Amino acid sequence: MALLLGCLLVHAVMVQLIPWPWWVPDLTLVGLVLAVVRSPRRWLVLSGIAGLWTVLWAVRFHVPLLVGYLAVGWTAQALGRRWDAADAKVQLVLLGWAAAFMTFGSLWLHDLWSLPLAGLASAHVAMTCAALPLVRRIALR
Amino acid sequence: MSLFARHLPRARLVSVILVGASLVFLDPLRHSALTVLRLPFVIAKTGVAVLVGLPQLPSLARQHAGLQAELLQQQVEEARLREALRHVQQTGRLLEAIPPSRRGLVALVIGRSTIPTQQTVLLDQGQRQGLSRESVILDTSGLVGRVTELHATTALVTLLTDPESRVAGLVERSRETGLLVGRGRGRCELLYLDADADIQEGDRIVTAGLGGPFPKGVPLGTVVRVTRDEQVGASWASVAPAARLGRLEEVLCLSPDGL
Repeated sequence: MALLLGCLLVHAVMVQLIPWPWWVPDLTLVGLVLAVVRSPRRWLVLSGIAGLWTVLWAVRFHVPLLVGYLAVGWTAQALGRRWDAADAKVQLVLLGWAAAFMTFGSLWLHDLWSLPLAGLASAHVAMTCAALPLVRRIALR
Repeated sequence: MSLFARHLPRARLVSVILVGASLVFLDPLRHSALTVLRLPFVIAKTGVAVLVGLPQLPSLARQHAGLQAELLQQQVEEARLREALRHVQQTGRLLEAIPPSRRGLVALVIGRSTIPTQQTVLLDQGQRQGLSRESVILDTSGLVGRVTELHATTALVTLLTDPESRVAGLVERSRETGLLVGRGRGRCELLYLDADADIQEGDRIVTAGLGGPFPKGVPLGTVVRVTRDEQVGASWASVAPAARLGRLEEVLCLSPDGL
């Protein structure tokens, strides 16, 4: 829980410092995936917290956003049980899928399709995945 | 021999007299000497002024915020008057009614959206301070956005670059009208222009004042690229927002009926 809350807080601070959210890794998702693989039974609570925190800033698509986070949480706990959830590669695959799902899903909801935006979205997913090793290292201390 | 002459050698006496005379009669030398002698007093006086002024900092900060709000209001009023003047020059007659000036308040941006496709900011002012859904949000450079969600003490503002943002825009130079739409990546697009519309790079886009809460003449942005499609018979322009959306700290909230 502390890991997720810490990631939520740092994400909110980073967005204040780096004004364009495309250039900020989605630490909310990183925290959610790591927290769920550590405590799969609490996936619903963790997903709910991450989803509600994000929905605070949303002016539309509140329900799809919340459902998206619940889907990420459920998938992380389901695949985490089947595979070795402690493996960094498994976590990276889960996070990559979650980031792509939420980012491109958001573009689909808004019906926003252009080459620059697709590039931005891909960069956002890549940055989110790149943040995983750092957060893992901090969480393991 | 006098007491004075016994205790002060003659050479030293002559030196003192010469230096004193030069200080009295040579202005530049006197000025420099006095400047050096005054230095300790200046330093002490400055130190005291700083200590005395420290408790006044909070009220100075409030005054500063108030003056900033006034400045922004004056800029909006100036834009409105420029527009009114242009109209008078074109039609040659006075406007029958000029809308009353809008009052505003300064709000701090205390949060930003973490969702890339929903570009919003959270303000520290809300319904209790007089904000409404019709309030227009500006910074020193231009339009920032509009209030989308209103709470007692906070308000969520959708930025101009948000994909759902729609503002009627006007090319200041040629008076071509279009619809400014956010594109979710730091830019906007001015749509619904004719293929042969008189618009070019560098043109300023301002609010057209056609419906909605936005007054006419508020800067929206600058054209960075124009794309024309002869087959479709339309053109559109990529517009860089005038407001510094990436560096919002304080904004002015204008309400239609005053506060």
